[in-house]
Amino acid sequence: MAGKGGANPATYSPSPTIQKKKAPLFKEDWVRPDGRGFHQCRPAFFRTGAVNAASGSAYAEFGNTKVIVSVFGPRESKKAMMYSDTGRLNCNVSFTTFATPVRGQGSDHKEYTAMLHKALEGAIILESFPKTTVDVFALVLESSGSDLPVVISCASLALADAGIMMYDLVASVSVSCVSKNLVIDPIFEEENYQDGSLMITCMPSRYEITQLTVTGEWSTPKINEGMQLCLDACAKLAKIMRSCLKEAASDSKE
Amino acid sequence: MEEEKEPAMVTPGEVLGTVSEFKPGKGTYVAPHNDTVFASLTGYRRNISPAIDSSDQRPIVEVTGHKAHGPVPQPGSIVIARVTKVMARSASAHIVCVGTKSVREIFNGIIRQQDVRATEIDKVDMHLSFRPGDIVRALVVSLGDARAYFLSTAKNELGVVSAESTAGATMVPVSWTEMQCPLTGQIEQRKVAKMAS
Amino acid sequence: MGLPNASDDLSSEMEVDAFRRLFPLRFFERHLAESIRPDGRPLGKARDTSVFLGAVASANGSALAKIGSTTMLTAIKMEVMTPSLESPDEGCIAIDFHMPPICSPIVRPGRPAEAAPVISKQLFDTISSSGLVNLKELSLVNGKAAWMAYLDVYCLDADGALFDAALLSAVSALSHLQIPAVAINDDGKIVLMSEEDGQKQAQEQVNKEKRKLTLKSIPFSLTCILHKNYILADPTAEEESIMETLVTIVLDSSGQLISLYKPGGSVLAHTSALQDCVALTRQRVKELKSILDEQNSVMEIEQD
Repeated sequence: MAGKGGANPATYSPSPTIQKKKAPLFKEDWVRPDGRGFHQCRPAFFRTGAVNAASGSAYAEFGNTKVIVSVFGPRESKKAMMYSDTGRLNCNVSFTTFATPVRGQGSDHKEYTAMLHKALEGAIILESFPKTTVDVFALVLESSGSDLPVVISCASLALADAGIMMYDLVASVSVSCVSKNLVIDPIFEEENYQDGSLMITCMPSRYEITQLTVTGEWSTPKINEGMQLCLDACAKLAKIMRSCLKEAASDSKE
Repeated sequence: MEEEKEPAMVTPGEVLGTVSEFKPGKGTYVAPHNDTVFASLTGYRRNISPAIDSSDQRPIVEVTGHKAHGPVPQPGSIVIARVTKVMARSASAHIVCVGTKSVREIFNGIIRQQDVRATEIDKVDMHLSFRPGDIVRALVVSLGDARAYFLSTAKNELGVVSAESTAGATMVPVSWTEMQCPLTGQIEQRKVAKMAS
Repeated sequence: MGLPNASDDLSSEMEVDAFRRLFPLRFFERHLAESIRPDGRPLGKARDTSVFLGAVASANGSALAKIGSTTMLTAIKMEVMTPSLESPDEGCIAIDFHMPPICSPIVRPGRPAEAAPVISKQLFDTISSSGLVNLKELSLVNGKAAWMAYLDVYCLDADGALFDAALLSAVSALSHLQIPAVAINDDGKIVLMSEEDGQKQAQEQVNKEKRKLTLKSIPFSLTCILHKNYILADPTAEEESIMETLVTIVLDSSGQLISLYKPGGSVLAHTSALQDCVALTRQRVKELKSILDEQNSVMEIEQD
């Protein structure tokens, strides 16, 4: 047996004998690996109150993408922080070592951490908790595509569960451009073969976008089409999130 | 005070009405660009009739009922705190309750020499006012600095509400400056809070 | 409570949980005197416990274990390594226990929880000394290739008795583990075999079929708090923070003692107290074994 880290010998993950013929999969008339329509999202499952130790929390499952977000606070800001009249938002996103097909390091994801912070910041009424900090920590249990949008939507639900005042819920959806087709809520394999990606984070009932990222090659009409797809999907997602919150609130009443 | 029969459940971002119809109350906010009142929390929506003599006759709309976040000290709130350290010019304390509610995680507070009592404030000896471990009732004077909330005990009903003697017994207040150990009869000095009877 | 005193006056003016927060020990001792705990449990009773096998789709073995609110998720990923010269016919298990910031208000990003490495070590010691896994079963080609089983335990919700829940999820994941079918390719590398490869004889098969480990006597544990003359089984995080003397006992499913931890604490345990803890653990092991057996038989039915 081996103890913790360090002295372990080099290991590798056995790969499949036949490399899946991925390239042909994404030619002209391809179908999505999970059989969905191009403009069809994976079924979204949300549950609040996943972590009792937290002030608020939520679990989200989109296909095999599974995340947990805990919210702590409002609590005292860390000592090193300067005094601030308004509240602060602090975020962190990390992955489990088994989140990805090949075992990873399970470390913090700096880019997602920054993106999550920016996506949520504008939706929280920071004036409602002066001087203190609200911590939003996400753990991606299993990564299977569209991880960041799932983390963002799940985080906004956890904030609502924690009773943090918000201007609106925040819903996030992405589309990938794969072989001239726009596919919504892409899975891992599709993201690997995408020519471009577009992600929108919005406050659905205020028709305001808090974050928009576009990478890769896009034509203007394609961007417009992609944005419309995302916005429509965000509106639908927000409905599911709202009914999850209402269900939890009326359950706790009884 | 008529309420709707079935109070509707709302979530953050749901539209509650316009500013001309409603006065925004707890758990709501107004978006200035379109004068719309939105919910900012999850809970039951309630419309409250305005006071009859109020000049503003709009009903107040508020969102209440679901769990709110844990209590946070605000200027003006009465807190219960445990003294952790007593220095020459101030005493540090952990705030454990805001009002009657216990906090989830403690907040740091500080009672400065000038905030211990209302009179002869320059003659206050911190060590004769508080001891580490004492439980005090205090008023939050201000948000303070990056490190702590500023607390005051400069009122009759504020000060030490529970303290242990050196012998380990809970002491009984005998005056507003003294407490007595029931085991040894020894008197110890404190800034004692007057108990509401 | 006898004579009225200042703190009783105080308790009448504030909410119960505020009193609980200010005078935790007094609050608990009032309950203990009546042989009940604030959550309604008798002193020797553990919280509701559940195990769910196969929680992580992409892992070779996984389990989610819950004891009260304390939640642990274990996943095992199998990789291939060259075995060491000393034991060319043995594989390896690497155990890591993680406390991510989501699990507790006391864990902050970038500052690992103090408890995590301690529990990692305890898990490793327990699993290796129990002889649960025969490492020879993890061999593939003598001296050339063997399995390295990466067993990662994640605490998702920390509410006391972390080691007990971590061990339960770890052994459950091991009981769920399926070793994949593999072959050696021309480069001497181990590759996975899929269903269609079955007939292809070009490759040398080293592990023909998916198989499970033969687990011997599974270890289970129970942590107790010793406080004055009281013994509290399966403590919550709050109880652990107030009364600091803990005893953790690990027994295997046939009731043999595997390990006993008493990492200090202010209460010096009498042997009789330890015997009482062992008796409670023996009881608990039966419960845990039947919970795990039930889950495994559910899995078998589903697979048939």
